[in-house]
Amino acid sequence: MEVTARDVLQRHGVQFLYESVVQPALERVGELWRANRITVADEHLATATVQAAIAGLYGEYPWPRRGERKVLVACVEGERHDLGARMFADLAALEGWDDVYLGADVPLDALVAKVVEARPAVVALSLTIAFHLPALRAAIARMRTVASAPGIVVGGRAALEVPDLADLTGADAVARSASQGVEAIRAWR
Amino acid sequence: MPGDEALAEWTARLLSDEHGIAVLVVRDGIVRHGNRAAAELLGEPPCGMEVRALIDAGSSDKLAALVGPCGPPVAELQVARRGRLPLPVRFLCLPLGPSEHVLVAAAQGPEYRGDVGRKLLAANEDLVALTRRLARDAGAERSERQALQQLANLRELFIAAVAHDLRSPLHGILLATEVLGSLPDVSVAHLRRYADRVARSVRRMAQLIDNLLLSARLEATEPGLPTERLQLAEIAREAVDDLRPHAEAAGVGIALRVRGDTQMHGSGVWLGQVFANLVSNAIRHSPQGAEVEVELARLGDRIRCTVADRGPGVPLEERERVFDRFVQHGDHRGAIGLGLHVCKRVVELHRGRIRVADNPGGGAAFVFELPAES
Repeated sequence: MEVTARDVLQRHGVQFLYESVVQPALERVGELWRANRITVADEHLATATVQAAIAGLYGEYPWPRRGERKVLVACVEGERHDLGARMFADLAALEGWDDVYLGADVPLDALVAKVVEARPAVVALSLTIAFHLPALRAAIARMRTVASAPGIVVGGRAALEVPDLADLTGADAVARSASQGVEAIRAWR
Repeated sequence: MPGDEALAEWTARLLSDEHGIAVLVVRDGIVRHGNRAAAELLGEPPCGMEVRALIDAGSSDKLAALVGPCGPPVAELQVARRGRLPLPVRFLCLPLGPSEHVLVAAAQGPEYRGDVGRKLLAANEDLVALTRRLARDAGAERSERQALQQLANLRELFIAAVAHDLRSPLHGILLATEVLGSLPDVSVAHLRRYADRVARSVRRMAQLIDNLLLSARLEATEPGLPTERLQLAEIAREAVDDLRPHAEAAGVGIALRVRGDTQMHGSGVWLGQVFANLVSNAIRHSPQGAEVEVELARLGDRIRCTVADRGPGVPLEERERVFDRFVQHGDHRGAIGLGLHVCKRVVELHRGRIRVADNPGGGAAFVFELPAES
């Protein structure tokens, strides 16, 4: 797996690796899980394998200097699937954003506290399972009370399943892929 | 370094026994750290041992692959246990460096079931996060160093380019004044010829200094330029008229052709400098008796400008680089190291593009397109 991933990285770059290899592979794993053909343990193992493969390549990414503008990336409370958020954070970092990556299942109060402390220009929230939509709405409602008024971009698999996610949550923008997310946050650069 | 502290903190956390999963830190093939769970799993404290010695000979190829540069992240290995049957253990390997790895292990036997799998996944997430943080910081630091190095290189190039470009006109002035000073009776014709030479040299130095100042301001003022509504043809005509005496002195003609409306929004001063740089370059590279052709044509919502000469042209492999700062090409005559860079920056700040192509009749053609006023 890692040999192939390294090949892809060297030939086509990080975005291609994420969006044309990793994402379709995990989509397939998700389909198998939804069809009850594999267990949740298998799904987690697949994700862990992908994460470890990516981690093995992190040293080879062309990480630029941290820029001046910050983007804070997190999964909402209860949301355990953070690979999409991580891929987005990686692409944003590679574009020169100073990324503050909080990872999976961030409790609402901790999220708000971090936003107040780090004062990011944009907060990017990831939602994979639509079940966590109420947590996302609550998070965005709280973000709107923060004095630094960061932009709010929502992404993740749920963005594909819920067409009116922006209206439902009050987010400034919705991204259907990691690279679309990076494009969306350019508005706050 | 924050990376080292973070590594120490996370390694310490992983090696603590609270989670009950086996963790080994391996450097250069030797186990440097191992926690209690690892000692229990392997049947003895593993610190200081060769990691190969812990694994059954049948699994040694798999182990080599696991810690190799392109190995799989997870492998099931048979652990050799003194006086007991080999135990199948699933290892997750995360590289910390070229010859340093963290191995996280979970036994496959029924007695080791339970929540080990979940803990393994959690440990994996932690490790991935740590690896990312370390790689990110190291990468940022590397980029910082590269940027500083580039700055240092640029400074040297800058000094070399300025010295080179100032030296030849200064030399021309010096020569002219020496000749004039050494002649006992100077004719008016002589005086005029040498005065022309001095004026040419001074103009070249002035152009270099203009370009230096503009270039510095371009670097500092991005992306805003003061713009006005202008006729690009007027700007081109002014630049051409300014350079006509210079062209005549070099025995080169200039033809300006305009097709269609060339109204646009832009900075007259900066765009004038683009024409001045391209046309004076073209004059400099033209053989005597040749003509420099300047053409402006309206094409839909764009204005295409072409400055073509009959000189030696720009070889294919240099076409990208000629627009870089302080790059000189051809016979190194004059202030080319900055002029084309200024052109490129100004055109780009006007949301346009510039390239160099072959002049169909021989020579170089610099072509740039700018958005016209609709």
